[in-house]
Amino acid sequence: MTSATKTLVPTIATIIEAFDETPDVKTFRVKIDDEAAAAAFKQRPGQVAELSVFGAGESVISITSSPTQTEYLEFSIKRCGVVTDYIHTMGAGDKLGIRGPYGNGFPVESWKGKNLIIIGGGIGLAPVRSVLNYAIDNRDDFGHITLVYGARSPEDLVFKWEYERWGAVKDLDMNITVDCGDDKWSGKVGFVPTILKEVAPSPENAIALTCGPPIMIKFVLQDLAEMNFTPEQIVTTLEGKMQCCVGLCGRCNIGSLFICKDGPVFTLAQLNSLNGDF
Amino acid sequence: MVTKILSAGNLQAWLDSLVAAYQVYAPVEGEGASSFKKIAKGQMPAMDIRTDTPPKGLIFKQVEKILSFEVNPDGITVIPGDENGTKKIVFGIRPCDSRSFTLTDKPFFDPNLPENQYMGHRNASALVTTACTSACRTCFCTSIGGAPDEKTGDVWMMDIDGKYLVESLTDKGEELIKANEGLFSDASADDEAAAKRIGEEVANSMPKINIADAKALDALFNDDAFWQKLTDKCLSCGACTFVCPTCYCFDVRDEGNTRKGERYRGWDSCMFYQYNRAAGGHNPREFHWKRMRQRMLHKFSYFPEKYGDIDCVGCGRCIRSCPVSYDLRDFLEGSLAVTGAAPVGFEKELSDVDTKDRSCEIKPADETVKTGGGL
Amino acid sequence: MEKLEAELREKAKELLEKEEVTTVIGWGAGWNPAKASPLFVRDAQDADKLVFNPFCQNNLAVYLPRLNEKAAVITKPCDAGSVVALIAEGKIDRENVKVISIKCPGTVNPAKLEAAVGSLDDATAAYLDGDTIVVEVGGEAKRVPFAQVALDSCYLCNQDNVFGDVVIDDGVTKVTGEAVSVVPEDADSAWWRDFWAKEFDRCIRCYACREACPACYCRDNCAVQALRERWTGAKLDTKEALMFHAQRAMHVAGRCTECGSCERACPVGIPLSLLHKQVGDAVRKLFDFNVGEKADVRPPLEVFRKEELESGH
Ligand SMILES: Cc1cc2nc3c(=O)[nH]c(=O)nc-3n(C[C@H](O)[C@H](O)[C@H](O)COP(=O)(O)OP(=O)(O)OC[C@H]3O[C@@H](n4cnc5c(N)ncnc54)[C@H](O)[C@@H]3O)c2cc1C
Ligand code: SF4
Ligand code: SF4
Ligand code: SF4
Ligand code: SF4
Ligand code: SF4
Ligand code: FES
Repeated sequence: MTSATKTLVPTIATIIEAFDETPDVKTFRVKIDDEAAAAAFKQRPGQVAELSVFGAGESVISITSSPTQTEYLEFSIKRCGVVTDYIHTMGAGDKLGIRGPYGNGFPVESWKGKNLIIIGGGIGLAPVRSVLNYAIDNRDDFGHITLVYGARSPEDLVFKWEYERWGAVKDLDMNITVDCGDDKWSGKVGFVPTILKEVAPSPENAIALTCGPPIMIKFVLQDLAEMNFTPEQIVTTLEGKMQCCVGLCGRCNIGSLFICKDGPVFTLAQLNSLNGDF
Repeated sequence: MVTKILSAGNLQAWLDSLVAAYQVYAPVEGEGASSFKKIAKGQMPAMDIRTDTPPKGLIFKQVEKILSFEVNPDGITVIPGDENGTKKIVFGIRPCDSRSFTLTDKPFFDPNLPENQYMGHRNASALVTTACTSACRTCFCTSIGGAPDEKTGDVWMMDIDGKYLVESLTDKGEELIKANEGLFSDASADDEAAAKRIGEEVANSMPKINIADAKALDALFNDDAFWQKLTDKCLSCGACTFVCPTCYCFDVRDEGNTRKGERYRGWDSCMFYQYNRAAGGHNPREFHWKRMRQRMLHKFSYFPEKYGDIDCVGCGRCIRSCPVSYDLRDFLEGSLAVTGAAPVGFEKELSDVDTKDRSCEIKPADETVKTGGGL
Repeated sequence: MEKLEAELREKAKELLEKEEVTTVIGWGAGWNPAKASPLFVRDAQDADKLVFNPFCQNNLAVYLPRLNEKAAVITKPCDAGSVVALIAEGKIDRENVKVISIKCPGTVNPAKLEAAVGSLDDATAAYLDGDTIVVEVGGEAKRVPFAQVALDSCYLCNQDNVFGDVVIDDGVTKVTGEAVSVVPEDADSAWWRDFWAKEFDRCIRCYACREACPACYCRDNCAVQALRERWTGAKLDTKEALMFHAQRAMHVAGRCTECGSCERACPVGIPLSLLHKQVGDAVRKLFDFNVGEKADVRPPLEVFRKEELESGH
């Protein structure tokens, strides 16, 4: 911990690149200005950061880049309120505040040798993409990788610029789908849970990670259960309104756990044992 | 540690000596409401009242500046808010209020991620606790593990028939007595016995409420009808949580514009709709009964589960200040009846997260602040 | 009083048994005998828990705009005014609400009572005996004339034309007396500024005043908590508090019945009624309008008349 950064005081970072993913999602590559702070910022896949626009506020955003990418941090942000609207007006050279990394992240060490099934919907690919790229960069540590990802329409798919690279990775089965296609779309059409059933991954030595809209998660969980995945094998990330991201401001709790501090990654087994407002 | 007698006549002299060296805050009657206010030389605080608003804000500020910022040609300058706190004494604080800080310490003194500003104010403050020689109708400290004569804070004192028995509980407290030694005389075994007797009498005069344990209460979570009935009359305001010494939720807001401004942290309340309203409008605690469930379970289930103690000190302020007289003792009794659970005695002392050596040292903050984790 | 209470319980029982409503909103016992607390009765058996006495302070009209069931509400004449105002504003689904009005003797101001008899904490009983309020503490009966401890607004209350689907009139006489919170005749803007600076200095921005107000039904959309156009800042100071209250006063101008519910809700005893009376006086003068009188007239600040533009008002 560097002396300049305290719990709620961010350090300064610069946007080095920004580009549109979809009409309302933009990806930002960010570098922390202070070298010591940058070196101390060591995230795990699935962790988050609090990004600040000074004068507008803070937002919790998943670090979508893998820790193996040490040049910059990547954030993909959907425009939906005061802070995120403002961030969308920013570009290369602009300054942000950043604090973190926060949260538990995915327990990737304990997944060594396992097959990964990554299921995402819409902007929900952002948090799990950090695991995907981490596994690709440590390809020999993991078994087979299955990706099932979907969005409402082709223009709502995020990270399209990654698909070619992902497609070339060995033992990686990529399934991209849209709810409704258009003239140019030649890929799969159908809801994520439907495609998941077609792909029918085996629960044998596998971990299933899912993140997306609540309704998608609901069906994905049912389907995984039908495919005999145990609650311990199913991992998801939760969302909720946050203000501090350090387990103090109170609001993001599910029972006695805080999504910001004890999550956002939970196994279905954990969630089943918790009473909470989601 | 020392135990002494202070004559009623010497109380003002002691206060004046403290006022000369520190900022001293004490209970003061006010128009509309009593509260803790900074006292001046020669001013006698209202020693016999439990203030309408809690002393919480002296340490956990209602609005705290986290930082100020300014855009300049080289980037953005960020100046963190006050992390040292101002040396102060909170005098005449009731045992329940004193205990409340030891509870709030638990989340805020997280060794992995300490919150420097709260910690700064806390370290810079000394608490002089005055034991209660009578209880209000709304007090229930004995039911949550406290007592009208609980020894908490840095100095503990009790009015025993016109004179005060004064005991230091920490080194800092001892200093406050030693620096004014001439004002105190030795205490006898009789004095201590008198204090003990008064404490017992007051405790015995208070009805005892049984409280179901954390797990049993959490099991009530899905009993929607229970919560709805309990919450019918609640207006969803912030009165109960703002007057509560133990509530510590906050929100964060920026002021100014994107070139120059400040960021503040301010008290929030789980009873407010906006508390959980996320961007896009989704609100998992959309209904007031879900927010009441959060308030009750946070205090009596989640917090004890995590930190070992109930996050309520039984001061009764929430009952008194509620515009519709919502009485959380109804929840405690009602939940016990519904769960049929064996009540748990929260008789034990505050669990062993030792509050003594870090709570009240009046030292410059960088000597005492240990940081770690985070960035 | 007992007769009145009995009638009330009977009526509530009947409405619930005949399933005309699913809940009756009234008052029940509070945590001390000199306090009553709102009570939602959903079961006819519980109707006997309803009370009516001079300690029933809460204006229950506050619950009506957010109801999603058929309900009966018990009102004092002043609260009935709030119901009328809410109907005029189209905020009450008239079909779903039954109004049971009681001609009441007046309501106690707890602060005045405590000033007269001391703390009510140890009271074992409190009641109205003729024109006297009696508080029993430790076997001793402390008596104080009701006229001395009623709410200021009770002295001005007119019960000639009480609104209600059912009006319970037990022939009780209403309390009379002199208001104590009065503004000096020569109060100028400097006086007001100093007065409110002193009072709002202790506002903790808990919004209890707003939530207890039947006219403040915006609740979750209240302008002071808006994420974007922020009219009040985060800082806790007199200026921001004043901004909140000035805004609230203007929002409820022409809709506020001066029931005093906000003032009674305030945990730090800020005399908000004075603010709303000042605004109310202005509304009466400018628009010749009495809030809560007519259910079919929109509030004056909600309608735009061409003449107003022409006359320069
Ligand atoms: C663990 C986690 C990971 C997230 N990852 C991403 C991501 O990778 N990309 C992305 O676009 N969004 C992500 N979000 C959602 C994102 O935090 C919110 O969309 C964003 O905070 C909205 O802020 P706003 O100011 O634009 O909205 P407003 O509605 O104006 O919100 C005001 C304030 O409330 C808080 N807030 C509101 N909604 C949320 C919310 N859903 N979650 C947390 N805080 C909220 C913020 O502090 C915000 O500043 C994530 C949320 C969580 C909890
Ligand atoms: S919940 Fe109520 S009784 Fe408990 S500490 Fe808070 S205000 Fe006091
Ligand atoms: S969650 Fe509610 S009860 Fe708990 S500290 Fe926060 S405001 Fe208080
Ligand atoms: S003070 Fe009373 S009315 Fe206000 S939120 Fe708390 S319980 Fe509800
Ligand atoms: S103050 Fe104004 S915006 Fe806020 S609730 Fe009242 S009327 Fe609505
Ligand atoms: S109830 Fe009183 S303290 Fe609370 S916001 Fe209103 S005036 Fe301020
Ligand atoms: S965001 Fe503050 S506790 Fe989780």
